[in-house]
Amino acid sequence: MTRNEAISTHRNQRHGKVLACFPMQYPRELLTALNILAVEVWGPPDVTPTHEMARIQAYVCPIVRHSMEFLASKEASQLDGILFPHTCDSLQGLATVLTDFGPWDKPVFHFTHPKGPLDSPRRTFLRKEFQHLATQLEEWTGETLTLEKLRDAIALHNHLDSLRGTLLEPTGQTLGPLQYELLRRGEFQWPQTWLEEIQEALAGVSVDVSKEAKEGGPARLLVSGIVPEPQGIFEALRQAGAIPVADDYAAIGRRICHVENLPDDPFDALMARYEALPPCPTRGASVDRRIGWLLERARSAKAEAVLLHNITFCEPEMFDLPHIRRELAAQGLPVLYMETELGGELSGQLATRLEAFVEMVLDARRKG
Amino acid sequence: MSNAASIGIDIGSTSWKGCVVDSKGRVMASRIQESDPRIKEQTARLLAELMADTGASSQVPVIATGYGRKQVEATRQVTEITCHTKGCFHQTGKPGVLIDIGGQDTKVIHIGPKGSVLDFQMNDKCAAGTGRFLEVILQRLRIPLDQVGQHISSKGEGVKVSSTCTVFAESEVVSLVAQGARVEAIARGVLEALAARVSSLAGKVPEQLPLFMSGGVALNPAMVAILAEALGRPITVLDNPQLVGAHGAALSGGG
Repeated sequence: MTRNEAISTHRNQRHGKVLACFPMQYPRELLTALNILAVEVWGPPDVTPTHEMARIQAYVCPIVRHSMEFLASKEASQLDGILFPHTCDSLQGLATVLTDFGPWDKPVFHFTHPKGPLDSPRRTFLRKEFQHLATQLEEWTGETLTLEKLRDAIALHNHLDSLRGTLLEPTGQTLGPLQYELLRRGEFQWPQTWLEEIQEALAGVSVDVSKEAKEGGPARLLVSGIVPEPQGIFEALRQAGAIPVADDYAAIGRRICHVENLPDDPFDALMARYEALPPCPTRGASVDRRIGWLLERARSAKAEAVLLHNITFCEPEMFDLPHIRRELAAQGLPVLYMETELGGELSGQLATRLEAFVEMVLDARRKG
Repeated sequence: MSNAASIGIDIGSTSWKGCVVDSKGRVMASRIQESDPRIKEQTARLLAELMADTGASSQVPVIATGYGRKQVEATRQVTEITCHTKGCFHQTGKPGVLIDIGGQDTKVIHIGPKGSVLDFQMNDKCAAGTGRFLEVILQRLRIPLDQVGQHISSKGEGVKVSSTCTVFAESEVVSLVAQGARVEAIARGVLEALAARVSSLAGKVPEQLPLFMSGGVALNPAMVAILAEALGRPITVLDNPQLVGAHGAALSGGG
């Protein structure tokens, strides 16, 4: 199902509103409970540049620049409103430019999440933010948010995350373009439909039971970054003789938060799920915690090396990267850092770097 | 019966390099020629010449490297980083840091004691700080690439060229000429800008590791000297520096 089909199905069958949601942390459970379809905007990669993109400086991240172009296009007319989580300065800047000077006159919502560990004041703040957003969305949709509806939505998303986690790392199964395509479908799919698609995929998947690096086998990589674009990166990895075995992309693995025993109070449950998220600079996680998380992911997936794949000018991610690279390398994990734009093809030079990195990892394996 | 064990070809953006090696990795024959955009035709022709020179049969494996490696039929394709490393280690037999300034990219490779790539840096966005940069800017100054050593001013007399972006640097050079700066001083400034760029790519090289250099730019003694100044260390230019990648490719034929 394409994004347009998902929007049209939601309107015609569920008669709900469609909210464009910017990366990356927002209470999607609230939206589901209020019959709002979240359509995430990670660019998109394939916009045609016109003068709208020129309103934003060339050194701002391409998610923001592409989004400006997208929101000014005819395609964005399918959206009923926008939600801006407080992810980074660039997205906050877009929220301002878009509404003050830009081509957007529909409702805009904000969700400000606290940065840093959830201590008592931050908990109080976050709870209020959840409640404030819920009230705003209730008014917007005319729907009433009952605690039962919210509990059901939270349970649905929690289950979804459990299945996403399984799809990412079942019994040694490795990630390929198909799994990524399915995982990213959730950026616009109604959660229940997405859940069914993941269940179907898991039932039919053929599993490579090998959990170890083996002679002649592909190099095993932990991949981390913001969003896996251009998607050609996976084919380039495959051709080079490598596979991702663990994922920490902000758009994918870094948003999975399954909580075993959810608190009964739905707002506490929302907070528990927020707290269970893997560390991310957009939520002010300390770099040391992030390094510990990446090392743990690499070890549990038996990754032989790490690919840090950032998009250009992503400031939260860039700020941590030098430290992460240094520490992972000190722990004996070879690290390749590469930056890409959102769309287009992987350049020949980048493909060569990927290949050379994989050759290096495989050579190290051969020579012990 | 030919002793040819494998053939390595390095299809670079500036030049086509190829060689045939025997079972001990010794070069039996080689070719270096300016790159032709008709990659397949050029490769077929030069391979035929190399095979004729050495009596190598069509069964001899051909290993391709360089940016054009995927455009030709070969037994295997291997990246330049691995090939330059193999070629370098075959010559030196020791760990070190290899700098290869190619036509389109610059690589700095840390080679381990077993001849493996331990780490590498490579510019991947444009031709800033590459051989092509040097070629374009020196052409603008009407200095032949192979005679640049005779046309640069002494240390300390160079003018500052701030950009290693080929396009911006060319404008900068035009403007320096217009301001009356000496061509020799500009030429030194250009070489120093390139050396600074490579030096920043190399980062902090451990003192105990020797520095090696391969690629066409290594044939330019002035550039090597200025780069050594920037790095504060002597640089050993490998034998036949242009052929190191192709030689390494041929050496990869054995697996």
